[in-house]
Amino acid sequence: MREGYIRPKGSSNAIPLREIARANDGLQRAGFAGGLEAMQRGRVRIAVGAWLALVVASLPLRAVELDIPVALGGFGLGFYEETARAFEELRPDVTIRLYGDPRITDRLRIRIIDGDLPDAAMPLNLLIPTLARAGRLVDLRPALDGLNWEGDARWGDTFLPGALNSWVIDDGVYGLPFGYAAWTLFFNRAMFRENGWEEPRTWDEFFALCERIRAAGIAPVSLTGIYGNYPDAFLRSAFYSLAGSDGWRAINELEPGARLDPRYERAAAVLRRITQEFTLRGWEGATHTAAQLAFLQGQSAMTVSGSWMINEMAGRIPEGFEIGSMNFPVFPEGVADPTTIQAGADNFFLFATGDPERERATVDFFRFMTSRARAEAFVRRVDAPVAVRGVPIDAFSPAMRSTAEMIANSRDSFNMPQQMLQPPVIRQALVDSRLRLMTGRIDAATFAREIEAAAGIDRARAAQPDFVESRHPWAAWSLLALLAGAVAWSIRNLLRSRGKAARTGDDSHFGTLRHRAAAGFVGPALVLYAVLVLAPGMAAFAWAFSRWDGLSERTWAGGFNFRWLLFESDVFWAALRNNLFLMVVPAAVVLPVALGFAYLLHRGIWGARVFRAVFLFPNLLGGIAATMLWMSAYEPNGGLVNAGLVALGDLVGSDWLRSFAGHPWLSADNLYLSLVPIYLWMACGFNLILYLAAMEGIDPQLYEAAQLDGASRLRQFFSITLPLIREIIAVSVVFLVIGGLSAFEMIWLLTSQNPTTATHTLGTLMVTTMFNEFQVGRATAVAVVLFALVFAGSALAFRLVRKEAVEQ
Amino acid sequence: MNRDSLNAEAKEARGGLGVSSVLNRRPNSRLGSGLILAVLLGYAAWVVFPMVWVAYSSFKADAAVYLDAFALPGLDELHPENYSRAWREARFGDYFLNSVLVTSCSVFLIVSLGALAAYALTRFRHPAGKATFWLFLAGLMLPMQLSIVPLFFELRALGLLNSRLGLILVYAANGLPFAVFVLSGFFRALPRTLHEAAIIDGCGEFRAFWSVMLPLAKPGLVTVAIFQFIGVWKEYFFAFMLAGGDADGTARTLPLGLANLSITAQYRTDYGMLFAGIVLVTIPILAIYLLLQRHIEKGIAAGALKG
Repeated sequence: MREGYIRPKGSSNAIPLREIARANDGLQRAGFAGGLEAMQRGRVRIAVGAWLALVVASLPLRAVELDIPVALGGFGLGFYEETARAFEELRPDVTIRLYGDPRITDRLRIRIIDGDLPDAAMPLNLLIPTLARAGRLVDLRPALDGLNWEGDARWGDTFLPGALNSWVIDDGVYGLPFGYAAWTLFFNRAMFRENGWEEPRTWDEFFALCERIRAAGIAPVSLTGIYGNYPDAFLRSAFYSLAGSDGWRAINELEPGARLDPRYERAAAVLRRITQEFTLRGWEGATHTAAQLAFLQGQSAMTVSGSWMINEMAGRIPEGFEIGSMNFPVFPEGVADPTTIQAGADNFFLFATGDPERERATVDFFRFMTSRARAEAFVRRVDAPVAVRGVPIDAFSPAMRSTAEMIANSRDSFNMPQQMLQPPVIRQALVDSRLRLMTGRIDAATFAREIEAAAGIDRARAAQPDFVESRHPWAAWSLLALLAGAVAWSIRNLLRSRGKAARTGDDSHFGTLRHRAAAGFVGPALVLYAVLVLAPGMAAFAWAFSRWDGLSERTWAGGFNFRWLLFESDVFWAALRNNLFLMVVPAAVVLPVALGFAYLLHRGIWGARVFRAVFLFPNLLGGIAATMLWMSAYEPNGGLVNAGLVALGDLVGSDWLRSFAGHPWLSADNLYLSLVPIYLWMACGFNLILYLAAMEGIDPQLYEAAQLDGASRLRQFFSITLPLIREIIAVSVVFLVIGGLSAFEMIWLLTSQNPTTATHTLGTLMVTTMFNEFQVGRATAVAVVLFALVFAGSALAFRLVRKEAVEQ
Repeated sequence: MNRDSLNAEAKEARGGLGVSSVLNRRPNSRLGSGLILAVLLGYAAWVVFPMVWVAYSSFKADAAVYLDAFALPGLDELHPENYSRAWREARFGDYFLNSVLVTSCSVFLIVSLGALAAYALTRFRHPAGKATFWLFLAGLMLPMQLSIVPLFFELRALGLLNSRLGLILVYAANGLPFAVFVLSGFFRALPRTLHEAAIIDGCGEFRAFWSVMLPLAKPGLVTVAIFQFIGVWKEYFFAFMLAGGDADGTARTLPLGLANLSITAQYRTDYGMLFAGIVLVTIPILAIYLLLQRHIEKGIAAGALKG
């Protein structure tokens, strides 16, 4: 298999020799500078000779089809498709199914667990280390030690310095970098020129400039609060400038005390100052594209993004807008080289499908894609940097050349650690504490302490996998006691009601069914129900006591998953709090409103039927459509809600209403309150219909009698209507409770599939635990807790219904 | 359903025959109902306007949405191509067919299997009858999240992951407890004399069920069908977990396609396409609703009252 990797041109004997020679010539012409040509041609000849020898030695090959999904990000698919077709011409025995997919990561997770591996993929956010260690990925190191496509160099040496370092796991190289990008400070060149502003070199100059921009009535920077990596570029850059590569390595390898370094605190203060003083309003709820759009609309003077921004926003850059790009400022006393860039690549990962032919063909395809000719074709097509050396600068458009030069001129580069290489606690802490830092709730010193504490937990976990830190003992024991009480109570009630049922007897039966007839009637339903509901439900209880990544062997974990969730996990308790909020608050709003409207319609009003129909419709729309509708309406700039409030403010002259311009409704802090109107919008009609139906059963004579007694309509509502429909109110409360506990799709969409600790619900926590962290056992443990809560909650509500029914 | 009270109100308004109306009509009652009407109209506007806004914004360019959220699109700058893009991106045609197929098949299974089981379990004695009935009812308490992880692996083992058949069976199985529960109430209410008559006429048990009892339980069947249809049509969680994983999207339903659209739009800031997608998904629901409004309202009310 190893020989296969170093074969320069794959191993098909199906290609006529002439074809190969022609293809090689074409590539030489396209990619090589004249002076080197002769020498390289000599080397190529040797390589082709070696290849021929291997071809003769190898067995006849079957045709292979490669399956390569690509994240549909800013660059589009065109280049990759073109490369696939060109490769198929060179290798007629290979067909490549290459396709783009915006949700590639979600799908890949499922496919990986499913065992249906693609040959290669460019995902955005997968648990690569786990996959690599489980043997699901191809280690590229042997191939990289072999020759490149042209056959004139070691393949690994043809990449930009450092580009291959992102995915080194246990000495293996698992990521193949291609599209390259540098974090950049973009500025509005025309705005800078008109105001006489200059590009800042140091952080002091940067802040002085921000003061001037703000004084001119413009927001200095627009940022996203939803994707924390963007604003974090300021922190990373400031820290690297101060601490250099040693300091950078220390914090990323979680060295004890590294985050308490005063230089880290100073870098955090830079980020805090920018977001607190100089950022366009509404950033907390803005996505990166919304922030970039605000910049392009002239609402801010600068924004931070990757060099992909120009590509990403293509078609949305106003005519005549001059995008300037610069590197981040530095500290003059810092140790890092001032030309240092923050840069990284889109990586392809090759999957170990277990089929050597396909794996070989896949490596060959990527050798072809990273050839100089294809790299230059990539630059010319998508106008973005590439991780392969030697692309001439004139291949870039004028707008990109300053970025390309920044990359070419840099003497040092660093990249943020791949999110998935970070241990879980610090990964989550970075997201959560960073948000608190940026919103000004904690200062830089507290931020540093929190991150250090998280690093400490990760260090402890690495040393002792079964260790559970008791962080929430009170909450955990109370919940357990509560559940135990609920179980005991419902068992007691069950025993009692059984006694009653036995006494009353039942004479509605037609007779006794024989076994065969019974099986005919009940069998199909019972089988379906047992196989697809009961069996997996039972299995969940067993799996919750295991440790399993879905890939390797399942092992017994005892109560570890539960102990971890209840006693240590902050996310679990935050998610449970959010579920409780969704159980109580929307219900408290929806119930009275629906009840009030139902009563009004019930007592007769003009157009009652139309109102009923209109109010119910949003419920039928479904959670996804409704959520998307409201997501657009809540958009900080350009959404219906803020535009409406501001327009109203202008109308009545209220500054308070006008201050909603750019209000971030969907930021982590505001998200749950913003859900309440959506719930009302969706659920009011449904509950109203229920109440109306129940009210219809009320004898009209009761009202007439009350009216004769002189009771007002309000009085009638409380003394007649409400008591008579208490049962259906309890039913609707059960619906709302179950709905609140199992909330998933709204949060999933509104957080862009990326909930923070503060915005998780148990449902989203379960999904991310399973598909982001591959912790199948822990995911089922979450589900079991959820079940216990739903069970206790519904039992309680049903019990209340019963009691009232008996009372009447 | 409100006809009686409406009639009463109409009589009152005409100063008619109701004894009560003469006695307690207060002078401010006209003002009061005007106020009530205003509140209801205001709420209705709040319910409707976001949809109207999405509908007309779906013809605008992104920059226009961004600059003035309220403005109607200018007639010279309509962007109907938002729709063709949404249609392509959301693969609306394919996913719509999937949704129709999955929903109708699973609802058919729920109603037919549920009716068979509910009938036998409520009207006949069998040693295991009572236990089986309670087993079904227990299903009402199981949140769907509980079984999803093992279910995922189970479907994979059966080769039903990412297939329409798998989704249909899962929806059907999960709808059965509700169907058994609601239908058992309807069957219990049927008079035993009908069954006796059918048997005396020489029907077998199944024939008696099929031609005598089932038609009588029709309102219950409609209730279950409507309730489940609405539920399955907009279901996202199971579809996301069990049918969202394959590359071709052979089994993806509309909610998945629509959610996909929002994720794509985030990468490209494509409001126009997003809005057009929402409109495309809303139209069929609106059409069905206008046709079946009364049935749907009744179904919801009956389903919840029984459940």
